Amino acid sequence: MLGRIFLPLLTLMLAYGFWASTSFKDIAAGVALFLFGMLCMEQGFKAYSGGALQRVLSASTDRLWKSMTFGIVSTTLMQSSSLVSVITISFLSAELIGLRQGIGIIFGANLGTTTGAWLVAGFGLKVKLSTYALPMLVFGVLLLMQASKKLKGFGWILVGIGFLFLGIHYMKEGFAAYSEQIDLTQYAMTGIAGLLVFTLIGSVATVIMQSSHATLTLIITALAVGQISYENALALAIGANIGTTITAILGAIGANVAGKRLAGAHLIFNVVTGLVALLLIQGLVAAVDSLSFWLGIAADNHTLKLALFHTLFNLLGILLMLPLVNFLVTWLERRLKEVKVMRDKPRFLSEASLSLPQVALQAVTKETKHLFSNAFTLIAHGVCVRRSSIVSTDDLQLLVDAPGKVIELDMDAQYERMIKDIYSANIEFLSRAQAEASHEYADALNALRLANMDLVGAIKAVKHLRKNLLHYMQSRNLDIRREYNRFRVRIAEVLRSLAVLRETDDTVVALLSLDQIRVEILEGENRAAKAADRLIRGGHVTPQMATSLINDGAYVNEVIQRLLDMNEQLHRAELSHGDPLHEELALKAEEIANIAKYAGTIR
Amino acid sequence: MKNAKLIEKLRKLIKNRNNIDEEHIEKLRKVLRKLKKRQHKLADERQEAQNDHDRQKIDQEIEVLKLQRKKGVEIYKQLKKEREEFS
Repeated sequence: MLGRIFLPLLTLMLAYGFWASTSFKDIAAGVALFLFGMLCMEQGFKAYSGGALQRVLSASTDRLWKSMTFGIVSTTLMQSSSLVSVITISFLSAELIGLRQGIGIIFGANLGTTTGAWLVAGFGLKVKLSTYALPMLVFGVLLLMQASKKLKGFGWILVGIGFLFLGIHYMKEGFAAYSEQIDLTQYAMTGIAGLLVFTLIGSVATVIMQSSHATLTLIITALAVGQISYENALALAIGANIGTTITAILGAIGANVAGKRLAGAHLIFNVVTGLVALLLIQGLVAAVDSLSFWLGIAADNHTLKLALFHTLFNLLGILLMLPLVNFLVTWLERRLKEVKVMRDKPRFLSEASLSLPQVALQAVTKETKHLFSNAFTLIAHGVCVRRSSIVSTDDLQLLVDAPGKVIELDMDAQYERMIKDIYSANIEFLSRAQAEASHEYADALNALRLANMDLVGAIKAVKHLRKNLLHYMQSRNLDIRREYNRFRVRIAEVLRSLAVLRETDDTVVALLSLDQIRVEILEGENRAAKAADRLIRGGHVTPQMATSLINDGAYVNEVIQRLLDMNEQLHRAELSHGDPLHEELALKAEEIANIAKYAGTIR
Repeated sequence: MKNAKLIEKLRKLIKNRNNIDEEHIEKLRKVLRKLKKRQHKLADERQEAQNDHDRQKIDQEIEVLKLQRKKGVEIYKQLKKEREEFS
């Protein structure tokens, strides 16, 4: 229920926000670009999984100190801990690194980000992310057009980083309008109250601006002109450290459970570091004063002392959390568990049933029927016809004219869930049974192997067919819609006939009944071919539709033929060895063709 | 003695062949009965068919059954003739 109202509600809120405020539009677009950039980067990193990047990452992150060094160096170079966090989450989601390595990178990134304060305070450098975004997008798209998988992957990464930069830029531009309202000079406070309030302000400001770097730049600038006190500036810096975790959490929205765990680790580290800094602030201030003297920083140079404070409390956090990394990993893995997809398993196969050939044959026959039952549902839903409609007496011809209703389905995921384990087990069982089988059982076992392979072949053909089916069955072009709906009806009718056949107790009669299905198949093929010709000649469909129709017609024929072959093999496996009765009575190809040819004129 | 053994072997062979033929004929008879029953049932369903599409489908199925039964009957007659020639 909540899921159904969330999207319309969010859409309404966003629409209102866009109407009410240009800044809000910029912020929302920024978030969208940011998330899209993450997806692009994941896509890019996947191209390198198993290759050079994995070797570089493994070499540079295989130990905790190496991961930390990687984090420090990459954040210093990119001047954005948010980006490094997001990249790390992408690496983790693509399984290029493990959680322990990711946590090490995050620790290093927190330390690396303090170099920004040094740069701003020491050299007044400012990095405008949008300056880099557009060239990255241009070069990234150029690389996307290359044939090489590695270049394409790098292109996706560049495009991803470009969109990330652009996203952060739009967010900052949008929030800039709001940040003018954050006038720190009017809110100077002292003591514990000042500490807590300004930590909160720093967090909120960083959440709003989506960049601790931007917040620190503001703080350093304000401090340099005396608009805020040194004491308040320290609290703001602590708050900025905590607020920056929001970017990582946003980045984890599109990530899998590994990415979510890393975002959790980032949040815990920053919050713990912030709390420790608040509790030990007097000691830290004293340490900063001592170190400043040792480093030659003037006592009244508050901006550099702020940078030193920022570095010190992050270093303190790392020293505190380092011994707890393994505990953190275990805790996160326990709290954020991967949702295990239920997979259907074989029900009838066992080691014991292999010992007797008759029992083995019966077991794998039942298991093949189990597989057929699962495949039946997958194929039915793949062509967007409910299984319940097929096994009922519903008139399937009614599906031809109306736009088809999509049945949402991830065929690959369902194949993994419902088919793969049973199919694999059947093939393994059959291989072992065939090795021991006498001639009497060899034909039957071979027939079952072919039946299993035909089923999987039918499913794969449906997967190919579905790509255009989903589009054309709802097309406004009535002719193409009808043809694609006829594809659905043909497959559904074959499934229905086969379901009825399953209830026939006489195997020979069941096999002979397949002749009727063969007539319907041939008639359907003839009609579809004639329809395609008629539509093309009459200009009722575009050339692109016509070629899709022809190609998809071939997939439909493959699905139906595979289902038919599968059933034939399954019934053959149940026949007595050497029984010729079915062969003697079955119709020849020309007899079937004759009946199909004269459809409508028989009587 | 040798001849007696040979004759005995030949008698057993013919008996086995007859047994196989008997089994085959019996199976064929059963299948033909089921096909005939199915054909009559379809003829009744045709009367109640709601539209041309359903009627056409039933007609095709009846045609298939007719051909299968025709083949079956020919084989049945052939087997019976062979059995009579042997006995």
